[in-house]
Amino acid sequence: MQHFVQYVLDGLSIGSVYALVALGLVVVYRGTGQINFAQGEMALLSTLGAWWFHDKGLPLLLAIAVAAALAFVGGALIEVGLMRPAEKRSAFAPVVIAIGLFQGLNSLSGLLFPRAGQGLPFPSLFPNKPTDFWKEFGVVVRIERVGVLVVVLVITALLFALFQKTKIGLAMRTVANNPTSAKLVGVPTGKILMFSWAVAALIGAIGGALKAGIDTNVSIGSMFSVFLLSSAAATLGGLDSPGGAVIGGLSLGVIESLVGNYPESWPGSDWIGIETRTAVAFLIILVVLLVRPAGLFGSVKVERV
Amino acid sequence: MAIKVRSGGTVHWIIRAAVAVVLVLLVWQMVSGASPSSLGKYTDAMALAIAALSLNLLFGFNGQISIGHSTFAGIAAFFLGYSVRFWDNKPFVSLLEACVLCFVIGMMIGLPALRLKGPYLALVTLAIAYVWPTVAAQFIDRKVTAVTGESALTKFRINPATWTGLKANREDRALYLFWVALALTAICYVVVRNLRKSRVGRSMVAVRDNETAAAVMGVNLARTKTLTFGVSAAIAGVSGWLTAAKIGTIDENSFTILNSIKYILALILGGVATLTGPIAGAFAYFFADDYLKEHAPNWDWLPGKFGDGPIASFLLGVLVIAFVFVAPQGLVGLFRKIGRKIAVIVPEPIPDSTPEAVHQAIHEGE
Amino acid sequence: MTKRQRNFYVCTATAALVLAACGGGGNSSSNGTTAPTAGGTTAPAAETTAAATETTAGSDATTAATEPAAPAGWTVDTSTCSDPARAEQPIEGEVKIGAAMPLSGGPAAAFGPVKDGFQLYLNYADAKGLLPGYKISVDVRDDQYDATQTPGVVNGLIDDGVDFFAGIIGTPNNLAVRDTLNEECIPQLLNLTGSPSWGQIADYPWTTGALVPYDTEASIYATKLNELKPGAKVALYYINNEFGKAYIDEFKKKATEFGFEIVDEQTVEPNDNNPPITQVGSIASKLPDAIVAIPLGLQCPTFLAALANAKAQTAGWNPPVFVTNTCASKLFFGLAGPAADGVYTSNNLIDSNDPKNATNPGIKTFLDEYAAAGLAGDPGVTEAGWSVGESTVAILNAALKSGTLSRKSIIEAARNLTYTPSLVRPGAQYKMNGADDPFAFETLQVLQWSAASGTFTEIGDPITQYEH
Repeated sequence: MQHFVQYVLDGLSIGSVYALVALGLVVVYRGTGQINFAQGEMALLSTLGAWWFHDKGLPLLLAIAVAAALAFVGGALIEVGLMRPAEKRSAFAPVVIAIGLFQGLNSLSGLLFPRAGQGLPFPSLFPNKPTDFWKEFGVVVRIERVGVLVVVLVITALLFALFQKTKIGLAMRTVANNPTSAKLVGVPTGKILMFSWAVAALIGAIGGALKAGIDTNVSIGSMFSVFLLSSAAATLGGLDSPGGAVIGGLSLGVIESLVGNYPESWPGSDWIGIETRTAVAFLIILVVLLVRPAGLFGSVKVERV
Repeated sequence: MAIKVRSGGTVHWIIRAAVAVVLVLLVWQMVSGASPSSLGKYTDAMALAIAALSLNLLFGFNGQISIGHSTFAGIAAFFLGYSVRFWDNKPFVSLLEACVLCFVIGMMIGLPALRLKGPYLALVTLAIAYVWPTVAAQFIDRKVTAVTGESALTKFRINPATWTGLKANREDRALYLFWVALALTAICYVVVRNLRKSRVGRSMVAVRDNETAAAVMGVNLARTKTLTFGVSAAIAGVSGWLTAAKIGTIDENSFTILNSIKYILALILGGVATLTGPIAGAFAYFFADDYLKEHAPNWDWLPGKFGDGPIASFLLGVLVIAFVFVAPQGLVGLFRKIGRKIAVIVPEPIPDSTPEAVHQAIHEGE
Repeated sequence: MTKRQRNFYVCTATAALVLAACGGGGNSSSNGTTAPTAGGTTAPAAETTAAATETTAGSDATTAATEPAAPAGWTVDTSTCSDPARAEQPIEGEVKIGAAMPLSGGPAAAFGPVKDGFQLYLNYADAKGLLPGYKISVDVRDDQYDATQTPGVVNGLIDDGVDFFAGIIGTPNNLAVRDTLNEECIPQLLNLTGSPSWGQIADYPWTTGALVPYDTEASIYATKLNELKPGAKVALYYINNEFGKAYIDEFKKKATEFGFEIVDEQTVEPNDNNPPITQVGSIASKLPDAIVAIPLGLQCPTFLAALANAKAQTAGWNPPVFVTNTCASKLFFGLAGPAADGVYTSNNLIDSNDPKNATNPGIKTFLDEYAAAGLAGDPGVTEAGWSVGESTVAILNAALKSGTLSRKSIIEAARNLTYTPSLVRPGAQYKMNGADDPFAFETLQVLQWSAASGTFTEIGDPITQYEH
């Protein structure tokens, strides 16, 4: 039993990063109906920015804050400068731009930080020495993991408050619901989309910094598989549901941890080894999607003929 | 302004003939005096073109997105490598078998796809592409390394058929594979084109545009969608077969999600739901990439000291984004726009325009 | 391929020529002549006995480069080449060396320093006229570490007239061009990978490797572990691909031989960069006496960090850890910080990062050129490229001594050469002996990392295995 609790806790800590990046994806998806392929690489560039500010002498928290603020501006600029004009031109243009950004930002990171390919040391926001843990009833709780989980929950709560309690949040919900009607009733759709992208980039920056802290380093390849798994988490939760993204991310982490720790109980585990955990996680997502095609908490769009 | 050209008229045929002549000259230009490495590049570009054709069938004409097509290419490539090396299979027999295999697997993946749409379907196919390298690595470990001691499928290279008079060396093999690639591209193009113009093709498009409406009009949704998935997977298999035949060595990393992303880019840059777009897009993307890789590191006018690093890859990203603004409908869209300023194809007038005659003409058109 | 298979392979391959070479003394080569050796003689029948270990004391070898010996013995058959005449055609005036290395994409930054070192030495050799009568030019092109791109790159280089290839990085990348290069009879020298595949002299006479084969390295760790903790309970942690498997297969064989008990086996996927909490947790729960770990790249520091956490959480458990020497850079151990302290690894090059080696003549020349070229970063990695460049020029000089410089004479020189590169540790040498010994380097010094000083400490004498 204590092992089981341990595995669930481990899973929650892995899942919290997925949850955060998934939140960023959901915020953009709600506004535009697009999956932002560049979400991971945007987070990479801001994390490298945070590394640079920290390297130049800023305290870590401040360095991350400055990088996140720049990401906020950068996200808004991407929406205004690229996505919006492209969207008017063709339905596929945003996809191409997102893929172009994915490639461009990754290479740009390599150009600006040539040594990032080998990995740059990145400190954690929380105490992460080997001895920084509590042990209760045989279950080890690492302080850093709890810290990361708390940050994720706080950001989720703030987002929830933003959506539910503020005027801009109401406008965002209106745009998510029906962009055309929103425009008709006078919601400044453009500004709202710009704000969505900015918030998504900001969340990504924080997620990237937390991930780099857990890994103790950041490299050019850090964010790709995180992006893939986070998009899986977002899909599991329902692409237009922020709460779904968090639950999807955390459950993905827990599934991975449990499958990884009890490999013998899953069919095919001798064929795909530890990666069974990702395969099984994807399989569970597939089953969920077959039952609920719009994810656990996503809303089903009714199509009119 | 623009000249009006009657569809099926003499002028239209002259234009078509001219296009054919230009194409033949283009191929002639590619082959004559080409080095093995540049022939290899054309072969690579054609493999990409076939993959984009297959994705176009699924996405462009049927509205189903797939980020997992690299996996079908990988399955066919592994089938070629394994069956030729260990079962002494004939390479071209393995091509047919690989197509059948991919068709069946594609149909099976098409089944859950029936319930899923857009990004949700994208995710499921992405999962397949994500898991593939792991499965492939285990396959190599158990079925290949255990026998040969090597970490990749090797020794299945295709030698030119004897009737060609070509020898089994680097130069002749490159030339032979170029022609094989050209033939395969032509076949895949014709398959997609004929399918698109058939009854099935119209069902596919109807499903893409509005599923409910299509179902009401009597289109069998499940059959159309799974069939399209299967055929598309089989064509993706051709692309993987060709790539493997050209490289002669494959392992678990030969076909990853990044390949799928390339297919998508080639398709969209060329023109979604057009017949020639995937081919144009694949060549444009491949050679832009190739050109930048060769020259960008040497450009002195670029600011800063970039060295040999990722500058080419960065510029490709920028180029792709810029291209969307220049030609949002892809290369084919761009050509059409230019072409329309020169000549417009108008349909043949229907001589008798009573409702009955129109009705009959439409049915004959089918 | 496992060691036993490899020896079997080598033996059968050459059986027609030299039955005695495998069955009896390891010193006779195919034509009965023996290349002079710098580091003593080999143990007889080394591959057939359990004690396949030959330990060479470091004192009798010099640190400066020795004169390459004239090639003798093994000859290559050019009759199956697609163009036999081209293989023997003399190279005049300028020798063009080609290589495919990752210059862009994710792994480029990690391998960039190797490329720098390789080019640095070849430019240095050209400027100093180290290949008398020849200009040396080198063309390194980008394959992004993607094996599907390597054939295109290599084809382009062949079309542009390179004479041979050296230092292509990556096992799959080298595999992808091996068939073409052997068919065309173009030497593919000093592949920068330790795959045991580069020993297949019968099928691929034109292909050789530059690193100590991974299985040899694993065998050396097993030998050292047997000294430290006889009969240990061992846990294995490795990357789930051919790289990890090459080590682990060999280590398991040795484990049976030495009577180790394998108590846990955990893997990590190549694309997984999360901290391996699950795997390390499982290992810790078994409380092994020692751990052998084969992670790759950034998985090295994340593994060591996770292990340090597990050790802190498990009172009284602090087993020795052996990690692959691909992790043994200042960079990866530096990223791991205190978590890497006391970790065992190995190398066959003198550490240019260690101030105590600054006066070594080979290191001094290297560091002077390094500084003059304005390079920055980790000279420890650049050094590997420099050393491959040096071996390349040594091979060319040996080929030149045979009379003409041609593709044929180059590969024959490479496979019949014994010499001591300036940067290898005392006791190690470049030694190939036709079909008897198709691997260049088979000596490693076991090292222990000290996180406080950022340097390695030598543990015992260098260990040589399978060298003939």
